[in-house]
Amino acid sequence: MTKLSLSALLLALVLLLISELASTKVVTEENISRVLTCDEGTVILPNGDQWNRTSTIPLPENGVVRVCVKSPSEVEISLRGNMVHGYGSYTVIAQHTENLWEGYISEQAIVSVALDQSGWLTVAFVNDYYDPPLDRNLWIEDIKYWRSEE
Amino acid sequence: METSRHDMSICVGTQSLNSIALKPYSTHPMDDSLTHLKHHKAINAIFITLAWMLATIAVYQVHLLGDERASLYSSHPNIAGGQAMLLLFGLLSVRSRFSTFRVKLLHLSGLLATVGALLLTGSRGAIICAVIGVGVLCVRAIQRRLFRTVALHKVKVLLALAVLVAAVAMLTRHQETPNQLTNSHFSAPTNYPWEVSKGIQRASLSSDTHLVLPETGEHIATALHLTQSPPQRQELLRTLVPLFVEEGSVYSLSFYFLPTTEASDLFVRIEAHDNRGRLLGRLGKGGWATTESLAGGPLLLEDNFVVSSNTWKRFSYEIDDLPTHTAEIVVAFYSQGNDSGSFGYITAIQFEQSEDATEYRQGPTPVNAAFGRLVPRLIELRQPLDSLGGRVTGWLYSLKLAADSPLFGYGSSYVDRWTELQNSGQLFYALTHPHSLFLQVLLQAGAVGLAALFAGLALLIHNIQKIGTKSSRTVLVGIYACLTHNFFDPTLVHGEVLLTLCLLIVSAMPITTQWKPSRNWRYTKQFPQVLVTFACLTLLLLVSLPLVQDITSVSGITVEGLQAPRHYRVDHSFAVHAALDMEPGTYYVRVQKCTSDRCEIVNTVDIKGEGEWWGRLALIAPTTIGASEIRLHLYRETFPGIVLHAADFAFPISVS
Repeated sequence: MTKLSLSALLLALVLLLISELASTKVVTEENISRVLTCDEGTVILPNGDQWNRTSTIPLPENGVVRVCVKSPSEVEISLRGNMVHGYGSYTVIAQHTENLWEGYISEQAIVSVALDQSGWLTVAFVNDYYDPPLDRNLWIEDIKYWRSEE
Repeated sequence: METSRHDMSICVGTQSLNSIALKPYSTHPMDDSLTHLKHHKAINAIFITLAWMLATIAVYQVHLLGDERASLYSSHPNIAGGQAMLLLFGLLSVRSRFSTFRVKLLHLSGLLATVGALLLTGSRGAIICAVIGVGVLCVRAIQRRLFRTVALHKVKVLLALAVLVAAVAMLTRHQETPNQLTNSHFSAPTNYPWEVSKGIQRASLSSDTHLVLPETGEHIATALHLTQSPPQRQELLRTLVPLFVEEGSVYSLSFYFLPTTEASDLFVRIEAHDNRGRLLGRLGKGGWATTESLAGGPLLLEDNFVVSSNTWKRFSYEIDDLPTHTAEIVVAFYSQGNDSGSFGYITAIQFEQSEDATEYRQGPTPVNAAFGRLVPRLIELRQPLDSLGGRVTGWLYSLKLAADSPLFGYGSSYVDRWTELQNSGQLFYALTHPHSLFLQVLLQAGAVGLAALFAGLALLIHNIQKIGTKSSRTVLVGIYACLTHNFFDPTLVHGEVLLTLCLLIVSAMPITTQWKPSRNWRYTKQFPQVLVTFACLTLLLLVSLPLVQDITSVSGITVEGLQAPRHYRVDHSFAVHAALDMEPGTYYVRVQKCTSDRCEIVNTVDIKGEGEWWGRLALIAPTTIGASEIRLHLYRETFPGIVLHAADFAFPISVS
């Protein structure tokens, strides 16, 4: 009886392992980096909401704002940062895994980038500091996006 | 010679052990009933003494030293749990038929103490094995017509089960008080569920600062002293476990605060988190926002308070309009500046589901609080695969290692192989050993050593079973429970557990018996079962090996986008965000920072779901100037809790 139950258990385990192996897929180059689908010009805030373009986007904590773009196009981003302990708000503008621009924003700045890929363009604030009353933040005041001529 | 044997009971014990384990076919049956009676009294005394010793140490470690779990004399609470579990079965096995009422009472107290020590170790494996073992004993007792002739041995089993059931019921029972904070006025010797930061201690109040609660008239003589020694960290106190809340409900937080003369700039931080522990918002004067500064400012205590008044004041805050997806609330007390020194005392904290703060009532009872630290660990069992802590992956990698040297293993150098495996980044969890006695033996001594271990265990089980008394059957259940526990934690390689097992084996000796040795293996039912188990494990090993070999060809998660700086300032923290694309399942991302000679793990993130995921992976603060590399190791969890390597992604950084 014991042998029978153990054998049944073993058989079940083997079947489950085989089914798991059969369901796994092999990594191929094709599915490594596909472009995520999105509506052109849409701006998504860190909390997942869509930007209504009527107010400045505050980034009080480290976070990412993304813009759906199609190539070829250009983007002009107006940024405002503040200095804490001698360093401004570090901003990274990236597309896929490539950084298009990165640097400290200590006051007002406008960054323009030309895009030759479609997909999400991201603006990330990465060096938040909060030690009241010291508070390093980033504000995205405007994002202008237009298609370049082919 | 006879006198000497009677007086030296421990020698009798050793002789008994010798007879069971090493000389199964002895022609000298130990039929001296007086000797055995002495022997059992000695064993009983040892068990009771050990039980109280372990229980005292457990209480000391958890409630006075503030350890999260009692580790007793061992290096790890799971080992301590293994020892307490064996001790429990030892006490159950000792028959006190010839004992006085006083000894029986002592025996019962030992049982209670052992259960307490076992619970305080928080070893889920040991607790589960103990509960199953006691359950088996109960079923056996019922099978043997318990209610026809009630023997003390059976009563003990029932009592032990009742204690376990009562303990579980006590931990999980519905609380009558609206206060969701356990033991929240800190008068009892525990600070659960509050995590005490640097320099903060539960302090006795002086006679002129005693608090008499106006609601209940209760006299409170201790409180938490909010102090800050190094002027570096503003967090003074924080809830140890999250407070689970329902979205759409209204809650209130209230507490008593007594400032000291230096008190200033204290504020309460109330954070809303989702069910993954991610911060959704902080409550400020103007409502919820990502920081208090955006929400009309922090909830400063001095706003409603004259700091120099030196009298207790009760503060209350209404917590409503919780952010969407809120599942947990975390409460903390902060100082706004960098001042050090004493800020004041806090006590009688009440968190309740109510629009207005009601009269203060103490939270769950101190008895509940005594084992309260176990509750979060038991709750984790709702997700059994997660609560295994990466053991299944460790087991599979052990088999992979064992396949390279299957017969004789690696000897003591298996540790080096295991360290290589760890450093190569293939192991997701930081396991320092295979987390299984049998796999550890397989790695150290190979199949030969494992076969020897199984043969030894089979011989031991065979000989104990042959005794055929009730005590020996209880001991057998204890040994099975121990071996099951050792499949998850190799406790038997530790001296204290091995010693307790030896004592357990000694206690299997009958008080009076007719020793009937048998050379015929067919008389034992246990040995074939052990052989079948061994065969099943071997087959499982063989079946598992192909899976381990294909470990790098598993897909499921890819990096779609990365928002990470490539240029860093030394010691400055920079966040790394990423967008991931996933198939359904549970995934893990491990972030490593690697220089030319070594890698260090920066952070691990677990993600559940499918499709796009956007989120923060880590905060990276390089400590050395030069070039480095950040590596993302992406893992996938599959049946049966195996964490498989899915993909890698790396990018270079420079630090100036």
